[in-house]
Amino acid sequence: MSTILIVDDYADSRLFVRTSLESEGYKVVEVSDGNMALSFCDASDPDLIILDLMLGQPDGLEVCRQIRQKSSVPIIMLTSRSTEIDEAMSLAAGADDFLSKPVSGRILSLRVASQLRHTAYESADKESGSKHNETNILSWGSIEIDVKAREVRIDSKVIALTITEFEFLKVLVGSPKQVFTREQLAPVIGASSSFGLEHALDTHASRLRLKIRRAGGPDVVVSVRGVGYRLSAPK
Amino acid sequence: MEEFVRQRRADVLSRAIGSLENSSPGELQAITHRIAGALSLYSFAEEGNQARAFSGWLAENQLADDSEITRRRDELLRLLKDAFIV
Repeated sequence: MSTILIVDDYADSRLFVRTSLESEGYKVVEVSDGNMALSFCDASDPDLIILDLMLGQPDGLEVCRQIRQKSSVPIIMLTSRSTEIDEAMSLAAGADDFLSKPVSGRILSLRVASQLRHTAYESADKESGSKHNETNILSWGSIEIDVKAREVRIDSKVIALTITEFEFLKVLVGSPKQVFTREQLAPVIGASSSFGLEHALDTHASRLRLKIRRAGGPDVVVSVRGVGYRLSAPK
Repeated sequence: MEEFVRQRRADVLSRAIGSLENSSPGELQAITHRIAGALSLYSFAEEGNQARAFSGWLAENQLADDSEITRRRDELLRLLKDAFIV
């Protein structure tokens, strides 16, 4: 049974989320502030976190950043704020999905299931890799993607990417000459509609560039104006 | 979930009203943001929107007179209390 951590400072909101998820069979733990969330994550490994953006200090973005430094657990931001900036900042902080209130219990549960499915695929890939000792390596310049191990290495040094960033990079490196439209990339980042898609993709692309550059890698993602993205030309 | 929401929404509304009535002007922005989310989850769409709008106004008007803040808060309170009748 998957354990979901709910972080929200308003009891009625927590109860709504808890009831929605428990009715789908999830085990739910709830906390009311960011420090409690960080402590819980240090002591346990929740399978997914639903995080309110507007907590006290530390706020939801800071909590998200701190968790992301240590873990690739799926994080869904759930907030009353629904501007594009809020969504972009959440994704930039490492969130995997962004939901604004109001949201129905059904949609919330489906989004949770979708994120957990990603994690399950990842685990299955890792397991099958260790059993069969198979490798499936994509490479581009100094970047190496071990698909089975779900690892990205730059000059043999592993860099930490979120699930979404990993999938984004894998798609680009898998077809290095192809220009991908935003619509083609939407399912890669888990977007279910075109609303905010351009901004969300820009944010994931920026984070990917930054992480790879920080690790000494090349500029990897190129925006193709009015179309989407492609891998940059090898140097 | 529909039944759960139906059973609890009056309590949620009541707590939101209590929170608004007992908040100082300095606390109102955070409080209205919190209740906006909860109200919308429990099917008080218009009330949630108005609470969110008030929270946004407070964020943008941090130097507003207390009298103006109180006037807007009372307007929101009237809307929430009217929601009991509907």
